[in-house]
Amino acid sequence: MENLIQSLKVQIIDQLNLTELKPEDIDASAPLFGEGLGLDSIDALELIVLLEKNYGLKIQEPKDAKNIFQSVKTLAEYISAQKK
Amino acid sequence: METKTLVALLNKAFLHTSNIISPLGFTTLENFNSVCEGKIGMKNHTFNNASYCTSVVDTDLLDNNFSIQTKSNPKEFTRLEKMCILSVQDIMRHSGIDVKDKRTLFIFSTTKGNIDLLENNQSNIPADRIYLHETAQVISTYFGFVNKPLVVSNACISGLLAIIIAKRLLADNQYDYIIVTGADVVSNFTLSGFNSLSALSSSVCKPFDKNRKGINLGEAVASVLISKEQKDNCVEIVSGCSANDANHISGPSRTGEGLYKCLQKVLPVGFIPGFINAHGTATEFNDEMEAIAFSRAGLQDIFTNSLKGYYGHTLGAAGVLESIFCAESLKQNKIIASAGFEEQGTSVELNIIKKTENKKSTSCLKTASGFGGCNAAVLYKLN
Amino acid sequence: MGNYILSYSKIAANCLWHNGKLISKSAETAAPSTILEDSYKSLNLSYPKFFKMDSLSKLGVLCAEPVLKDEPVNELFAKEKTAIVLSNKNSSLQTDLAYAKTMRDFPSPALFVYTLPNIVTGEIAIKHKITGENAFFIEPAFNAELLYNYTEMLLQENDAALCGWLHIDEKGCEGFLYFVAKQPAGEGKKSNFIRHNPDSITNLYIN
Repeated sequence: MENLIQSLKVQIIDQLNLTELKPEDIDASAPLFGEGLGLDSIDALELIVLLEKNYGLKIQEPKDAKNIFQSVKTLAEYISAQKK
Repeated sequence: METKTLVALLNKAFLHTSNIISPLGFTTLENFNSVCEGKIGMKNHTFNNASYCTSVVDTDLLDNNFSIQTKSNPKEFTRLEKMCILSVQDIMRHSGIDVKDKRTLFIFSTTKGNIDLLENNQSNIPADRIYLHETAQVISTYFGFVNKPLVVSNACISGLLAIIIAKRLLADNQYDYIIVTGADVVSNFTLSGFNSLSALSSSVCKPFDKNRKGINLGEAVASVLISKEQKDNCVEIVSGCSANDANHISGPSRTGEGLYKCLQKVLPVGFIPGFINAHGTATEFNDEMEAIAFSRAGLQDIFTNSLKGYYGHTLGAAGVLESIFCAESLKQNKIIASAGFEEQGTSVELNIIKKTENKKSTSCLKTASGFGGCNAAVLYKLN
Repeated sequence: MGNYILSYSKIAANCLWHNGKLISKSAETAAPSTILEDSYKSLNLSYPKFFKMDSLSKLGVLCAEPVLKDEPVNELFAKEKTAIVLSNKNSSLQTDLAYAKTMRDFPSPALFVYTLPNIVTGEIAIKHKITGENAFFIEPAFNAELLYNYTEMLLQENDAALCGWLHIDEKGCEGFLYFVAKQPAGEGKKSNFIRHNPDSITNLYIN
């Protein structure tokens, strides 16, 4: 799980052009949206693309995305759960 | 005559002859009648192996019409250009204006122009036709306009903004006749793009409705001649302006700041328009924002519609096409049903027009909003 | 009376200039992205959203920064009565091409939202809270006459305008923004300001 979390941090920085951030700057449990990283609706859509591109996972309802993308940790948990 | 009144008179601008090229017809009359009969342009079409609910012009019909009406080779022009040439030709036939007149201007409004050149192999078409100004110049050259065209590209307010710019240029006495053409085609580019934003509805769109799920893309070209000439039963562009939300590049201000600002500027204090033709794209956020802005301006009880349930969102053409409908509605004493609407879907209830019927109005408000946080509004009045 | 240019900036070749003063200089062979990043650093900007923008928006935001933060502009002008009037030749073509590359397999929403020329207007408006009129014109080349004419018309009912030309192509980038306003109060400041007319606009652009 730790490797996945670390890998996701790198991918998120890359996919969302968070150029001034390093993986160690991102707290895995902190909210991605609202406070925390303060991502917006376009970032949410790009994360949906990231899931499909890098993990072959398609979120059927954009509204489910809210829970999945709550934090890097919840995202990692979702990906792990799908692989089982 | 008092100087102020004289100046005001000289600053007036009016909409005259117009044309609409769309799946619902190749003249304004055909389009207006089709819409009054409740016909809609959207169907399921396949683009890149996927099915989309879109409003597109029949290609064979377009090419046949083009060959017959222009005697030119359809292969030498792009889809967009053919539609534009047919549209402007209709204006020229009915206007009697002289293209060689230095006081005539062609304003071209588009968001993506010939963007389909990026995906189709149209080897007959030179690569530089991807540039919006080249496209405008091709159309302009076809008719022999002496002045360079003015190209406005400001997202989905482009068409309405072009009309506002025309009024300003006329008031400044820079031109006598201005043809405004708004145009955009449906393409894999825009379909895939709006799809990636989860903004498309897979079925016919439902502006302002509780169950609205997004836009349908539509293609159209709409042209209108604007001048200071006053004729009976023509429609005046009384006022117009644009404003930015300064909030988000792809989502509207939740409180409708920019649009509300436009409403305050274009409507005289206490003025009640006969009806409102809203932008009404059928996204959750746009329609909600417009409802809030209208309510803030005290307009929530005014008859309101969106035409996007008939045409889909025609992007750069929308402001012109929908303004032409505003003018025709005023001239023909009609209000047009807001197609797709069944149940109130905004936090503030609007007076959405449910049935096309006869009703006399002497004025109407037209609004538009677009990516980049832009908003525009125009007040039209029957002369 | 008349209107005046209060402040202007340029990104041309490998440099960023403000009111004729050099703010940032990149290596002569620097890529456009490097020139933009160097300018960002030279301006001491701290604006994480910058890195999500496409090149056209970055160019516009960078050129706008020193102009809109310039003392006479920042202090004197109401943002709700300031227009933004921009122009270029290519619209958003560079980003259109970048988006088109993603179209087949994984269309990128973050790229798609930048495939309109006026998004840069939106980015400038957001950063500086400017809520006035907007217009974006597509011209085959820089057209001082057009910008002058339209701005003069706008200034009849608005107080000020940020105007200019923002061009990006595969070879490089070129930005020129200037702030026009009705003559501000204060005799002392007037001598720094340039009369607003097509010739002075052209002079600032080419020099």
